[in-house]
Amino acid sequence: MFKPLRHPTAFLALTLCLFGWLSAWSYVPARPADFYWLVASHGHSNYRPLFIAANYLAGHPGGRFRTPVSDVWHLDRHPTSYRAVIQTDTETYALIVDTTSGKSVLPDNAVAGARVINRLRSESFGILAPVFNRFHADFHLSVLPENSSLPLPDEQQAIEAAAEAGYWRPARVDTKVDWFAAFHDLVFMVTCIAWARSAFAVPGWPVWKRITPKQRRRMQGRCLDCGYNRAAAPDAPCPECGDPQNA
Amino acid sequence: MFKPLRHPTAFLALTLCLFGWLSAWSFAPTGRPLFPVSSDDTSHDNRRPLFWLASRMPGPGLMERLTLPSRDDFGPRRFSAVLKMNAGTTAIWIENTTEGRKLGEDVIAGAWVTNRSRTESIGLLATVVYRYHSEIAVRPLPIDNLPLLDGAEATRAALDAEMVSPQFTRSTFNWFAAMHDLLFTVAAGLWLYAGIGCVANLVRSRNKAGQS
Repeated sequence: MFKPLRHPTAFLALTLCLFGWLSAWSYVPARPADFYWLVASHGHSNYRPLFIAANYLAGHPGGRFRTPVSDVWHLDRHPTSYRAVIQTDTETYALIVDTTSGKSVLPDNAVAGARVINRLRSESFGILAPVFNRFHADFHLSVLPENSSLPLPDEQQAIEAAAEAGYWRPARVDTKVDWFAAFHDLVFMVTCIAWARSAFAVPGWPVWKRITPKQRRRMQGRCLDCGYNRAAAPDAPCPECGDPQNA
Repeated sequence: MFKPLRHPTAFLALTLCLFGWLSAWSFAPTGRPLFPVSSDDTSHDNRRPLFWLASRMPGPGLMERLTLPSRDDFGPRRFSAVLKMNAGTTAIWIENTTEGRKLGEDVIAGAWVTNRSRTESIGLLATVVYRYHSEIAVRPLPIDNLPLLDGAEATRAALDAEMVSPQFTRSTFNWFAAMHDLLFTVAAGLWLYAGIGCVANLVRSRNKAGQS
């Protein structure tokens, strides 16, 4: 059934297709589409060995597709506001700090303060396509940008205050299975098996027996010395030059 | 030389390859901006017939399906405004429209002058030629009852103040994409040859069976 795949033409055709298929993946963003938005400037890990290899082969380790430098990028890197929790002698409260106003949000009796950061990370697993996509979101407290020497507030109280204001949600992990991507990777595996079957036949190609002039003459039934056609009497010495090589 | 490709197994293997190759392109972005920009500011035309076909495959790569936030979801935007007053024409940045309402009584007319980009990608599957047009668009400012300033005058003032870039068109050619598309054409040709040969072989073998 698989005999036709052993032919050099079939091998070359399959190699061409697989090379093109892999090179097509170098045009795909390293981050899966669904999360592209959320993770554009956050952490993303790719556990897709052939996808990484395809990008390396194409000379674009980070993917040919680049994250566009956009307004979002700008907003994210230089936020105009952030969420914070302030702890004073009497209370702990959460607020949104507007960085463009230039005014300090810290009251005189502030004893601690922290910035509430929404941390986003995503991971994708597969061979080429992102079959499993995992998305992590959690919140954590970091020092206030406007006063980094201020200690962090009591974690429990800060979380309660932030949650009351709607700035804190429990950490969550979402996992999605992409069936189309799974099917794509399955088809790729089947094709790789067909290609491997074809590649195993490479050492047996007749072309290797016709590389040197002597090999070609032997294949054609000619005298290895003078090239005379000895098809009529292959076992006798050559009638032209008398060479007894096959006698 | 190509005769082995006419066997059903070779044809099936090539079909799988081409299907996978096309489906890989359904994961690629269509070229429209993924960041929040107003559709008034940018537009993208895909002139890649096979990519159009591939991007319609069922799959997650259909970025068209994503409901992206609009530019306005990301807070107030700045308007590059050209205002005509009794004293003359001036080009200023207005942080938001509420500020614009405080402009004063002496503003006779105004215009919002921006760069609008139109991009085109041309090829079969990959973007072999990418064309980028940047042009100047003159639109009314979102301020109630403010008449629109003359386009030429507004453009001149915005250009003088370097608030917008002059109009230009740039094309880039991608050799890697050209090679990719060439390989796909060759592969599609081989697949077609294999398919026609395979069907012809089947018909011939049936006829022979019928005769005997």
